Formats: sequence, structure tokens, C-alpha cells
Amino acid sequence: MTIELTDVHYSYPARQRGSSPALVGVSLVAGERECLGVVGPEGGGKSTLLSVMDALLKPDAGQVLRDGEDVWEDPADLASFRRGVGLCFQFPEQQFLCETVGEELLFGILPEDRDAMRGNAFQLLREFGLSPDAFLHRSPFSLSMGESRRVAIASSLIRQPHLLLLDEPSAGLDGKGLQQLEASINIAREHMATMVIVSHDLDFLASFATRVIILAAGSIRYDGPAEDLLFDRARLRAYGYDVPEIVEVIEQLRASGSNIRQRLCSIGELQAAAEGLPLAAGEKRNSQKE
Amino acid sequence: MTRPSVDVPHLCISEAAIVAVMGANGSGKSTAALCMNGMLLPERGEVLVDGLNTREEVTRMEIRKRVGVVFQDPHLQFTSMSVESELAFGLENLGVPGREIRARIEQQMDLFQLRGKRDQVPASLSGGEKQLLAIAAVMLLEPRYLVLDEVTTFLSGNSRVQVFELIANVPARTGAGVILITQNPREAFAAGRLVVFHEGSIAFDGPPETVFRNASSLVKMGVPVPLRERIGLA
Repeated sequence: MTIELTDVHYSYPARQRGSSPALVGVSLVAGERECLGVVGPEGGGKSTLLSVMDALLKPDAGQVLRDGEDVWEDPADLASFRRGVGLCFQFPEQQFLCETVGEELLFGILPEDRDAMRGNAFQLLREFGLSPDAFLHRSPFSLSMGESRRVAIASSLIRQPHLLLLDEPSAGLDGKGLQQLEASINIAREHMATMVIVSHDLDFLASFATRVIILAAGSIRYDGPAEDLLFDRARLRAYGYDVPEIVEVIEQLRASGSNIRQRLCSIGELQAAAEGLPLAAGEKRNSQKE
Repeated sequence: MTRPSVDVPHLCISEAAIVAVMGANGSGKSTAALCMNGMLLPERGEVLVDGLNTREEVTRMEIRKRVGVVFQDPHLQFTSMSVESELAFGLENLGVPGREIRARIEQQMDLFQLRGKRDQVPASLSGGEKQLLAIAAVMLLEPRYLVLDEVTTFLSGNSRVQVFELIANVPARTGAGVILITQNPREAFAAGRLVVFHEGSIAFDGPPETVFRNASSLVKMGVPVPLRERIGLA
């Protein structure tokens, strides 16, 4: 799916969020198979942008186009549009409605399709490192932050959405949770046309984003290839971000004589480059295979 | 909520220092944090804050004044209908004179860039703004120990830098001790000491650069490890 916003404006009712507009003239395209990363200061409109893309909020002006068609043109089609979009909120417990994890996973599925989807729910839980025996009957409100985040993402993936919107998916996850999330996003990307990830975690974005936008005070300040922005120390610094760890490591490797290219790469490539470095006298390698 | 159990034979945290705490989800970090100000009482063993025992009801209020906790999920700690009154709430309870409350709130709103949000309902703030407000409100009370439970997860680059600077200056400025629970190895490096929880016990305790040398054990425990250590480049 291609999702396009043209000159979108949105303001919350004044008593809800003060008087400043949340989105001001936002235009962007997230194309087929693209993974768009969104960064920027808090209150800059990132979460609002996701709600507009999911057609939960109607723009005051401008258009939201799905494959070229205005999603708001025929209100009768809105429900089917939203069914094709998976949205995970920043605080996953805000989106839980059911008494058990099992019901939560199947909540977005039409009742007549639920039996057929149960197997997928089991499979997804396993892929996310949550054993069905231990989790299916637990209350979603009893989960830790990391567990509830995984359940929330799994419950949006089960409908096999065409567009997946993730708001700070890596926040609060431990090392294993992060690996499981990354693996799950990779699985999702194989099926999915388009993904938008809001995150302050540039290390996480470096693994997935093909393009990144910086959104501040409701408008787009940068829109370009992920690789260009993530290596641009000065531009990132202006927004208080450090370059991702992977960029620092590549720079360190190059400074130590490696000919590794200055572009985003896998940990395997980094490891190979690190192993290819000449060892100083008496130095022992302590690299750990992953 | 089912909380992980902890079994910690001895852990001593002193004033005027920053201690980072890492560990997998469910390893007992937050449980330990809640024990520190008496919100949870240990089944066995004692938690002493400057010698005061959290088990004794008479000292519990004093302990809560001394140990300020900012939770992972800021929704849980807001009680007021505006940012300004949320900041005033704790100081009013402590009986601080009105004029002083106003002055301190103004200063805090500047430090945490919340001035433009003064009249907003805390629930209407963005995720990062809620975290800023929660940290600002607890730091305003100048506790002797400040427990921060993954409080920077939703902060943008600039806010993280600013909040981090404020946190890093706490020991020197107020003499307080900071317990910084985090999943971010970069934040752990800001502390002189890193304690790693694993299945309710303490697995490592030492300077961050020494602890991170155990990359392969840490990865197995589900603890995020800096990329350099993971590829053996450190």
C-alpha cells in the first residue's frame, strides 16, 4: 500500500491540548515496501501523524490518500481501510480491551473468522517469545511493559495489515525483547507493503528505516534516505540525537584501518570487519558470535 | 499486576552517587525500586533508608519523603488537572509556603520546558512530555534518593540530553543518590556503578566498563549490551 498525505493540518480541540496546532501542512509519501522512520521532539506531532494515517483523526485540511484515493471521501469505506492498518500505541495497555491475551489477539478479527485464526495467534505468540500455555489465559493488564508491547504488536500483525504503524515499539524492551521484536518486524516486512515507525531510538531505526523524517512543531523539517540522516552527525546533533551506535562503530573500524564501507550494514558484517582488524601485540580477541 | 520476586542478600546505595540498574524485563528491577521506598515490603530481610526500616509504619512517611520514585509509566502518578497544579501538589503536601512554591514551579517549568503547557491536563500531554512532568514533579521535592525507573524511554534527543544533564548533576547539586533503572547501555555509562539484575538476584555489580566485558553472559540474560562489546571491539 502507498499512503500519501498532502498538506495535512490538524488541531486538537483547544481544551484538550492547548491552542497550538498538532500538524501544519504535512506532506509525505510512504511507498510500497518502504519503512519510514519518524523522529523529533516531544509534542512535535509524531503520534498525531500516526492517528491521521490510521484515519482515527480526520485532518482539518488536506488529504490522506491510500493508493491515490482519499480515505475520507466515502465514510462507508473507512472501517475497511482501518482494518487494513495495524496501529500500536506508545503505551500498549491503552489499547487493551479484553480479559485475556488470547481474546486480545483475536479482538480485531471478525467473529466468523476467529476459529480459523486461532492457530495464527498461537504461532505469533511463539514468534514473539511468549509461550501460548503461559500467556493465552493471562490478563493483558498483568503483563510487564515489555510483554504488553509484544502482545500489542502481535495483535496488530494478526490481521496481516497492509500498513503497520508503530509508536515507539522498542521503548522499555530488554535485549531479548528487542531481538524478538526485530525478528518479528522482519517477518512482518516480508508480508507487508508499508511500515511507519515513530522512535527516538536511532539504533533501532538504523535496522529498519529506509527513509527518515524529522517532525517538529507539527511540520516536516527533514525527509530523506535513512542512510543520509543517520550518518549526518551535525543535523542529528541539532535535534539532540547522537549518531546510532552502528555509525560510531563503523567510524571506529575505518579509523583502525578497516575498509568497511560507510553505510548501514548487518552486525555480521561489523563482526567480520572487526575480526579482520590487525591485532595489537598481546591482544586477545573476545568477540562473541551471535 | 504479578511482580517478579527478588532475592538480594545485600545491596548498599550511598548518597551523592549515580547507580545504574539493568536487567531483562521481569528480572526484578522495578520490584526492588518499589521496596526502596516502602511501597512493597519484603517478605524476608530488611530495607533500610538512612537506617530507617521500611517495615515500621511510623517511619514510612519519612522514607517516602526521602526516596522519590519516578515510574516507568507516568500515567500512574498524576493526580492533578493541570501541569502547574501537578508540580505544586507535592510541595503543598510538604507545607512549603505558597510564594516559595510558585517560585520553584516557575524555575522547574523552565528547566523542563513545560512553561507552554502550564494549564494543560497532564493526561493530554504527549508521551515524552508526561515523562518530563513526572520527573520534574519528583525532582522538585528534592528527595535524598531519586529512583528513576526507565524514565527516558519516550524522550526525544534534546529532552533526553537536557534531562540527563539534570539527573547527572543531582549528586553534586543536592547530595542525593540516584538509582537509574535503564535498558540503555549509553545511560549506564553515565553512572559510576552498574548493578545487573537477573531472575531476581544481582548478577553483576561494578563499574559499567568492567561489567560490559561480560558481553556473552549479559546477552544470555537479556541485558542490552553496547554494540562495540557485542562484536568484541571494545
